[in-house]
Amino acid sequence: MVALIYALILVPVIFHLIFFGYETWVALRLLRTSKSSGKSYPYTLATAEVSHTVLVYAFATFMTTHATMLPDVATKLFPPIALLMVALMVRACAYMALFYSEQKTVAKAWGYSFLATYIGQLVALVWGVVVVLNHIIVTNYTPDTQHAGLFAAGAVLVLPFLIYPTYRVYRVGLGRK
Amino acid sequence: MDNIAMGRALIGDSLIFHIIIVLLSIGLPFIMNILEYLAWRRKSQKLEQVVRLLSRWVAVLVVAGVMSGTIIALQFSTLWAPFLAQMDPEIRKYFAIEGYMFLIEAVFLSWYLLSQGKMSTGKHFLVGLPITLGAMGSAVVITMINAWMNNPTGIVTSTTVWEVTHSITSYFFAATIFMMGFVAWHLWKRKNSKFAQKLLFSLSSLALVLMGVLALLGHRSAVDLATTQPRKLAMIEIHDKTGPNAPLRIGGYLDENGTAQGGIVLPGLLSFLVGFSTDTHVKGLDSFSRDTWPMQIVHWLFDIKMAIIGLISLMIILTIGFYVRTKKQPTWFLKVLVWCGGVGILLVELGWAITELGRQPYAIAGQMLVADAFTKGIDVVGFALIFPILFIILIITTGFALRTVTKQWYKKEKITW
Repeated sequence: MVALIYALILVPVIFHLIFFGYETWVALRLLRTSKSSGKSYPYTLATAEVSHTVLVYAFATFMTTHATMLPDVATKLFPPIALLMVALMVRACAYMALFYSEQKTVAKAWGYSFLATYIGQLVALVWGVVVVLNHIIVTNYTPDTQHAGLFAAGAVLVLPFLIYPTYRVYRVGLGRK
Repeated sequence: MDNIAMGRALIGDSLIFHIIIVLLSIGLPFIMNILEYLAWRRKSQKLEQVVRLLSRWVAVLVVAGVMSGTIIALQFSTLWAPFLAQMDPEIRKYFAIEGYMFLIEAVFLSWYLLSQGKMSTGKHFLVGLPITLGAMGSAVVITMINAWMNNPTGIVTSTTVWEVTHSITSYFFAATIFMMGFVAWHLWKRKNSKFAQKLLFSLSSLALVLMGVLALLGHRSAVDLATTQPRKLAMIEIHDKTGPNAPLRIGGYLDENGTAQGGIVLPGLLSFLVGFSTDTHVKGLDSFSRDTWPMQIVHWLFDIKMAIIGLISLMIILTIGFYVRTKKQPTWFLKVLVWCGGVGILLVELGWAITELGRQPYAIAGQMLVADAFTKGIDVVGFALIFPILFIILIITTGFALRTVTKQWYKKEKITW
């Protein structure tokens, strides 16, 4: 059951990281062009939300199953979490400015900000994972597995429902119809 | 400023912003689904154009909503870790279930946006349905958690039923009023067309129905408060003395002795509303120790909310009345309607403020004080003072984005109505 819980957390994180890498590369390209254009533009518009939501799902599962350890790590976890909060908020602002601006070119500052949020998020995630893992190993912490069956059942029921739409989103987003 | 106060301010800012996005992200897809269904059945190009505008708004709003929602989850896991740890695991699991709802909404929204114009209207309508269902599902499970915080006697209680139904219906209502404001703006600034007038009439009719449903649900919620959250009801009504013949007081205040003063007093009406008899006993503030009383502002917020409800009901009835009599709205009235577009959002904010402030000083009613729910040892003062600036920037950039997509819509669709 513990393995199941960690699978439900880590598999979405791995999925997120793969596309996170591509989106970071897109952010670099946007910096060069100063305007969202080309193939990367529709991709980011459509898929950034899916990639992010997958990470949110993983975090919600982590939060639910590791709630009893959070008071013990919260003080050490807050700095990377604060960094992540800032990164996400700046990304949302930069996203609006880059993809919904009426200007033909957008101030470079937005492009730099957009890229910086990906770097910030990566730093925050690695930092946060180190804090959490350290605590789990040192205290031999076992997550709450009482609802593992329910969460797994949810994954079994919901994921097939999402496979085709997700495939269509990434396929179209990558420029292939 | 101490850490707990700033921590409360930070989560309060986050929730105030997030709820705006949430209600529009639930309500606008709901309207979008209805209009797309009608567009499909009636083969209406004009309705399809309106659907495309709504989908662009939703695409913008969901970006802001996803980020602000994530911010709240991150705060819960660090700043409010004791609260999470103390939660009944049977309730806590709903945070994870929300993740599934969220996935459904996000994936189908992305597919919906990418497939617009590439599939038939009927199929596209079906792709759009899970967006509303996923968004509603998220709201239902989160509101279930909040209902438990207000009444932690069970997982699904009467509080759950009334809080969930009342809040979801209010989101539909707020989004409908928002749309009415936009259509009124279109009629005023762009063109007075038969289609837009009829659309405004249809939206106002929907708003009237929703208002009626909300009135019933609001009343049942308040009646439920009398048994499950009497302390909150007592402060909402500044009802100071337990007993029958409880009066309804509009306005007024509590003096330093905790006695209600001033305002317009309607004898026996509170007892009647709670139990359909003036003999109904209603618990007053005297039944609770003073240090557990919520803030008095809860009463004033409630009175303001009721006053606004009266005014918006009048606006809705006038909108319908003008259309029935003359098939159009006077220009002065259109201007008023434009300004009223945000009133539904304000009502939702007031409702949530009353619910949350009315539970204070508890995080979990009767079980955990807010002070005990906050993580000790985190210095959040500086962060809490600066972080809200990002919310302000996000509000401004989201507003500009909505304006941009609307202007682009007018240009691309070549709107002639």
